[in-house]
Amino acid sequence: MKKISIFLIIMGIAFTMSAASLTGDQILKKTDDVLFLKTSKSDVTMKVYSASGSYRTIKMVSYSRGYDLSYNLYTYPRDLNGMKYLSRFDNIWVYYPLTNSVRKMPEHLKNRPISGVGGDFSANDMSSTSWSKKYRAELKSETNELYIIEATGISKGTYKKVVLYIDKKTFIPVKDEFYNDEGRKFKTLYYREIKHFSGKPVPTFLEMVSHDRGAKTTVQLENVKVNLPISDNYFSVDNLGR
Amino acid sequence: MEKNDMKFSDKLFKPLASFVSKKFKLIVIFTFILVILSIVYISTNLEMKSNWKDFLNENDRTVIETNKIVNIFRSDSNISIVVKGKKENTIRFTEALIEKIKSNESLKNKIRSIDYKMNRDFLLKYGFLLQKTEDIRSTLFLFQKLGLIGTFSGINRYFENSYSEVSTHMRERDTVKFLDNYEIFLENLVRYLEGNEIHPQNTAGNMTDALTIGDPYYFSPKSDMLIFTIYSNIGDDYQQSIEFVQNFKKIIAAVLPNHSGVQAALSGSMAMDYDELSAMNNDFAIPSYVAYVLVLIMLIISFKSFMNTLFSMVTLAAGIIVGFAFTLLFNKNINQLSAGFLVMLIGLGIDYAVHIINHFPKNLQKTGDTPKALFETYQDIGLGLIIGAITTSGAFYMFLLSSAKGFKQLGFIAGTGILVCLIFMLIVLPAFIIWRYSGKSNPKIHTAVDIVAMRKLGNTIIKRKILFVSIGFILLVFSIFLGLKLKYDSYYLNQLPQNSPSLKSLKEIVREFRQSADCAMLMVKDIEKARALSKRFEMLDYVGRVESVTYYIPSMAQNNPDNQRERLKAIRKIALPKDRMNFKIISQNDIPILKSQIEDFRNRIIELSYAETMGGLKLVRMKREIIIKQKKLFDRLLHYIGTMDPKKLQKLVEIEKHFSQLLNERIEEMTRISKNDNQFITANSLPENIKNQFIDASGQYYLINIYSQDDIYNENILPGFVQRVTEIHPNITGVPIILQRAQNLYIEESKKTLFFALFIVFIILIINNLIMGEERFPARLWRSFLKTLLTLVPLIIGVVYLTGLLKLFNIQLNMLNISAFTLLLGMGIDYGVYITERYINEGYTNISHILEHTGKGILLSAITTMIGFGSLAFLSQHNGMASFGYLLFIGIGMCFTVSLIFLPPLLALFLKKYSKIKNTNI
Repeated sequence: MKKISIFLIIMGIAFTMSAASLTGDQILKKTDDVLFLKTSKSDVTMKVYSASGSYRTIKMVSYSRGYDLSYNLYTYPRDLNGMKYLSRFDNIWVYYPLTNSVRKMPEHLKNRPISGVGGDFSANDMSSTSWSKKYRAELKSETNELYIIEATGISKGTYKKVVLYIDKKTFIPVKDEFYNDEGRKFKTLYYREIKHFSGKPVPTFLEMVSHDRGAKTTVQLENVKVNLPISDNYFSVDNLGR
Repeated sequence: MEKNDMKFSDKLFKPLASFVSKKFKLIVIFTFILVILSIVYISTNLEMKSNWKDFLNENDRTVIETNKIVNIFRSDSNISIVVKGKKENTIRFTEALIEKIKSNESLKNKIRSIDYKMNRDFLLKYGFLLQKTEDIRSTLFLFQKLGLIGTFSGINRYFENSYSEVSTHMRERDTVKFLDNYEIFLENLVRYLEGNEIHPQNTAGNMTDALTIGDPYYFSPKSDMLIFTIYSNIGDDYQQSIEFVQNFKKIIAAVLPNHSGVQAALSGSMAMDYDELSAMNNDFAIPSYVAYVLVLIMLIISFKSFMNTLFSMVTLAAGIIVGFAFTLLFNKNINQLSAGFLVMLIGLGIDYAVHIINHFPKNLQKTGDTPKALFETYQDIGLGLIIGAITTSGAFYMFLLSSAKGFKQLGFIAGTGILVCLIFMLIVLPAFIIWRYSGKSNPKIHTAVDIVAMRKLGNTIIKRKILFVSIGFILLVFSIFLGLKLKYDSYYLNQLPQNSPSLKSLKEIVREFRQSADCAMLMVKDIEKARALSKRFEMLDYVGRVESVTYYIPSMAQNNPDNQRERLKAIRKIALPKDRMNFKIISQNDIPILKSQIEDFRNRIIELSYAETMGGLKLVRMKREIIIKQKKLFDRLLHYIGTMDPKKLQKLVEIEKHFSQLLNERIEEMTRISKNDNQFITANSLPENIKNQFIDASGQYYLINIYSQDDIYNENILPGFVQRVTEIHPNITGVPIILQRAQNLYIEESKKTLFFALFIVFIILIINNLIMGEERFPARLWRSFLKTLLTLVPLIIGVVYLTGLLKLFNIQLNMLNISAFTLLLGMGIDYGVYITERYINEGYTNISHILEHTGKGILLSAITTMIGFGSLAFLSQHNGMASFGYLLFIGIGMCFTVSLIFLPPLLALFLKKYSKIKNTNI
């Protein structure tokens, strides 16, 4: 019994030492690696809640390849059916079927809510993000279970400051806190319902609570498939209007 | 019981009976003088108030902040004027109305600000500087090249950079305004091309205004309703507020006949208060008159004497007037609840007269000796009436323990009113009767009518007591089942007089503008703080619009990337292109390009439908559909272009020349400020109306108005709105905040006072029963406890039945009628007291006798009380007061029914061994 206790203590010290040796950037890189999906496809249901508790539902089919390419095809409600969002590296295009037009999203609108009044996910939030490429991170503190990382945006379309609470065992974020230019926390993203697909962990329920708005938006992923072949056509601007 | 009772009665009633019998004339004359003095006092001192601020205590934070705003900005309330009709007609009417308002002598110095349109000169000078830096940069696209093709192409580029950013309700309103300007631009162009407008100069001017300074008025998205606000300068002076609203009503009535097809009405807090007050005055008067007349008729029938009834009613009126004047010594103003209670005093106060008239003439006939007859009357009923009045007023006085000023006032008026009425009935009414019969050797004495049915009811109860108890129990279970489903209506507007014009206007404002006329307010000292707070309020999902001087005075802070210097730099870029007028006059060859630019513009507006669906932008959808579907502005323009001929082309060229010329001049005019480095907007550059609206006279304080999205009074919005804005700043106040605070306090205090009232009634009854008991302890204690519990039965079961019936009649609880439970407790307890007392004295076998005598008194008293509440329930304009009346009308009816039908069998089952077979009257 005594031997087991000593072994556990030694293991605990070893784990703590190894954890303490990680820098913020390294933790962020690990998070990226854990969450990285070569390709993925899922049915997405977004619920935009008003402060009084009512909500509107938006559905889409989402495709992604790595951190740089993502494509969303809106399917519900009927008025949105056929609308597409294409995110390629740092650019976003929108296809409007009613007018058969493809419009490139101006830079300054990428961090604005994609779902208008009440939406808490920006176009950038909905695109896949490589934290380690776009943010510099510093390990601010840690608890028994969590690393608390302060990430600072270093490229276009990033948030000035994000505080990530990352699970020490899985390196999956538990929540991200977003700060505005004035240094005030304005929204928090919670990662829930972590499920494994082909061995890869995927948070299938995301909840963005807006402190400014006093409401929230949720995203539920269903029928998730990972590492499946996805045609290049999905991520081509030329094919967006077809 | 009798021994103690007699000793106490002797000491109290003998000298009183002797005094009243001897000095009856003096008493009547003194009462008359007292009533005259009271009327004079009331008429010179009474203030009716419907403001919720007056319900709260002075040390309440919202009241303190409101008072600060009133002191510094000279008012916390406003009048909104809603004008409906065709756009051009509403504008003409509004201009005429404003002229009348400005020239009205009685309104001079009473108006702080009229916010009816944006000042044109201010916009021409500072219009660009009012835009955010990033918007000015987008505006650069709009004015790079003139001519029709250049303009449409500029619009498309501007659109691309601005339209989809609709992240807050405030931005949604800006988008609607933005679309509204394009609608004006297109409509003028189309109307001119179609030949509906013949002056190119006018058309070009309107098109230029639309693209540069926009529509100065605040129209609904459908453009058929205009709203503007007038801020008063009169503090919270009650009388001046009434006159202020009346003046506006008169002015509107005077101007309206000259403008056919236009409708106008007032809304906003001042107009709402005025209408509520008018309804309260009605509810104070008409139900009182009706109740008075009905009680009079009922008493004439039951007393068989017109004069005795008249004396009772005169004494009652005197008691209410003097009692009210007395309470006014301590409270100069009266709220709607207290006003309603005065009406109910008619029903409650007359109860004492019923008992006096029931006994005194009879005793007079029996003894033939006035002092003796009066003494016997006091002995018969005096103590019962005093105990009843003490329990009732004791319950009412429990409101004094409330922390809400309005409840304290109600408790004081109600409790004191009851006691004063009792004193008048014990002293003044006998004095009247003695005077009537004095000097007559053999007067014809009128005694009250006997109700045989009550005796029969008593006999039936004796025979079938198990059946009655069973029926009572089944009804109880059924009522509990229904009562549990009873709902609480927290929508404040449902409690107001539904036919009031200001309420109708308010609902129209909510429907058309998706915002309320009332707003939350915050006063801050630092303009940069005001800016940061305005921005945070704007972000809230509950917030539809924020008004603040910071939208007119952009920041000067160096660290703000959107400060005035940055804006001036951006404006300078708009001023730069000197070749914007070097455009090619449109020719037949250019038509396809023009067509394609117009189509692109149309597509961009159509694409807004996606943003509408994603963001739930109902106002934007409304506007877009007007442009695209209703007015078909693009179809008409494209049809004109598509069927181009030389004549049409000539017209197109003509308008292009005029428009481009004017637009160029306008750009030069509006970019002139950028030529100097110090052309900043300061408080001194603001138009007077904006300055007075948002900055105090000393220039130190800034006022922020926060309007909710949709109806602020909606029960799903108000609590959340108040919580969120208060989280941002605790000192926030304004009508919705005060209302929410008052509503919460009202409910909390209602529960608290109900508990206190129940407790005090229980204590009074226990003490009374202990004093009157004859057994030794602890038997006396047990008997007192059991008797008290049974006395409470009519009240408790009556309340349960009441909740079932409320559900059955679909009457919901609300913030006004919830307080009626405490009043019901004070009143409904009396019936149980009377029946239980008589049962103890007369016993089970005498139930028919009890019901014949005491039951008759209770019946008359319940009917008179129900008349008071019924008149309020059925005749009140004020829904809240009516629901208050309904609750007490049904509640009293139920307490009375339970006392009469279900209490006697219960007494027979549980108190049989304590009853004494005796024959004394109550």
